[in-house]
Amino acid sequence: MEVIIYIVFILCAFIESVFGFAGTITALAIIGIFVDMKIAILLGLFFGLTLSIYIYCYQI
Amino acid sequence: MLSDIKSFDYTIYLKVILPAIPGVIIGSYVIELVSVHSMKLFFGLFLVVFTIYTIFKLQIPKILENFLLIINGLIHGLLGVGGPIPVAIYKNKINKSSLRSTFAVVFITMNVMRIVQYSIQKTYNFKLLLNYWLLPFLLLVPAFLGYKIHVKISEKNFRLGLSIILLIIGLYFLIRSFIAIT
Repeated sequence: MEVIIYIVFILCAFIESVFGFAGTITALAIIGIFVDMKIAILLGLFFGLTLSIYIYCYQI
Repeated sequence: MLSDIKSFDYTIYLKVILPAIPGVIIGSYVIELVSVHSMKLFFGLFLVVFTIYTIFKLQIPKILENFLLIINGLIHGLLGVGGPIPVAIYKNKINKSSLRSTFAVVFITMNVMRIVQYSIQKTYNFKLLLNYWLLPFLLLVPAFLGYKIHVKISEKNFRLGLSIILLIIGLYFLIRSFIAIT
């Protein structure tokens, strides 16, 4: 399960980074199918925060 | 890339973040009270509305902008997906670099608020995230590559494909949670 979640997050990070939208939504939508929704939301928070920091840092 | 630091727009940042603050707090609080099925129903509904907006390129009426920015805070507090509404409102009003850097800071702010709220309420055991300690390192690659090619890729067909996938998932959530509730 963890491997699937890692793959989904990497693909969705690519989507978010290229298009600037829909990465977190897509990740939450797919991971929400596999795990409890509340856990998916926590993982989405971790993912979204990390990615936002990276995107802002690369902009600098 | 170095010039992008100047593109952070404080005015738009404040216009988005100020109306969202109450919603983020309420949404983060409510997560403890609502059932998983209700959350899935709400998320499914949100996905369907989001994809219809994306596919048909609907415009948000100006009169609704402030109201939707308040609702956006609530959606972000509850589900953490408060991106599409402010992006839809501001995507044609500022340039792409400014949009990326400004909204990155908006999401950092709203996510930090959620972490504080969850910590106060003890909603989550954050130790769970230790199982995913590799994630920040793995995300470096797509985040960097994405920036390199974000100006070179045509997003029209990709957006459509992604929207259809999200619409199917949204309908799946809606139907499953509706059956579970009834």
